Amino acid sequence: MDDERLIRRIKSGDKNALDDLIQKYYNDIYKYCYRKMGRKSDAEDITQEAFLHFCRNFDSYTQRGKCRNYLYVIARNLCANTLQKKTSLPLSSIKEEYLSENDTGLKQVDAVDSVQAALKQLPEEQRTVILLRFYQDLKLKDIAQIVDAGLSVTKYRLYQGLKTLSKLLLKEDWL
Amino acid sequence: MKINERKIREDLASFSVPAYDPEKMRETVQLAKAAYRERQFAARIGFWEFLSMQLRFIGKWVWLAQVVLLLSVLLAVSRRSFAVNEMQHVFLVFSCAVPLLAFLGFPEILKSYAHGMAEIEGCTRFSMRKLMGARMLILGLADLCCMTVILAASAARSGTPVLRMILYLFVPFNVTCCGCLTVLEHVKSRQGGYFCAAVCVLCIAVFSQLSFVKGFYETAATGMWIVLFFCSLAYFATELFRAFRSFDRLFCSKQETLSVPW
Repeated sequence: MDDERLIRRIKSGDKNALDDLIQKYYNDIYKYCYRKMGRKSDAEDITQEAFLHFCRNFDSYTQRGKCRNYLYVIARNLCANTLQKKTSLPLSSIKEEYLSENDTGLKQVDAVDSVQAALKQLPEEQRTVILLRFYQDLKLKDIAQIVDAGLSVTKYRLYQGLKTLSKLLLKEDWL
Repeated sequence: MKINERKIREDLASFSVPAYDPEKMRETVQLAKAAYRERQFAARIGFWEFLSMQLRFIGKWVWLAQVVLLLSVLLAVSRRSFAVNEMQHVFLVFSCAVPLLAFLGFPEILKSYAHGMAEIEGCTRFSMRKLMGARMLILGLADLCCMTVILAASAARSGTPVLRMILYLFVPFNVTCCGCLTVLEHVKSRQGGYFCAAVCVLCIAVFSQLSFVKGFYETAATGMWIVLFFCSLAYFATELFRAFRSFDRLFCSKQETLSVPW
């Protein structure tokens, strides 16, 4: 079901529509939050808070763009707020969590480490664009809307991000 | 430097995400539903929305009675043309119709008390004061519209100065309203309606009798009418204030969950 119809159903007081909307986007928002925060519990909490924020402020939401983009904007702001409050997480804790979740061996954990370390070195704007483009598979137009920037600026950030990432990952391989 | 996008994609793909806890998602759904419900209750509504909401609760018989009364007055006034010194017929019509027009809204205002609904209305979404205020405002505006039509029709037919006609119309109206508001302040029950009806009959009787006293409606008596108008207006305002205070007292200044900007 498309977003417009879902929103119309929610506005008319259909509680199941809210259920459908959350189930439709929960995984996407959770994955985005996880990659931003690097910890499962944080990602789940922020995902929950993003949906609650959406429900509490439902009256101010106007169906102009995609509902998914609006949720990404909320999630992005919540992640930024949480990151501001928290000090950066040691990589060891991510490693432990990763090992407990996926028992696929140390090699994969190292790969995750290097990718995550490389992503962490990117400036915030570039990292967000990379995450949304390569993990969430969003179009550049939608990313521009989420990060509240122009299309050309978003393209530039993506290019710069890829360039830096390529350099960093190549260095990791060489090492 | 050339960017190998495919290579970067492959590298990035290694950063997979652990599956989320389904219990957490179910909890999110429940909390979101609760937040949506709370939002519905906490939402502020505008003054006009509130007024239109209350308009629907006013009985159709009130509007019907007002229309019938208005048409009757217009018919009585327009049946023949009057000379300036033969206005007794118009004054008699005013004396009978205006107190009746003022009275018509009061049974509707007293409805909550007459049907024993005051307690329920007092502890629900809006305060009793706001509900009563909205009803009074709607009925008052309707009365004002009717009076304007009567004033225009009678002034056009008789040629009497509009200011004098306003005095002849509004003094009986104010006096009847004052009497009914006094009743409303002291008697909050089904009997209140009967007392209001009695006040209305009394006003009709007094003003009808006065309409036969020629000197009372002459130009020389205008000063007395002005004094009467301002006195009745002051009394009307005081009674209105007292009536509102009595609604507050009855329900112990309940804190409202929803506020309407006045």
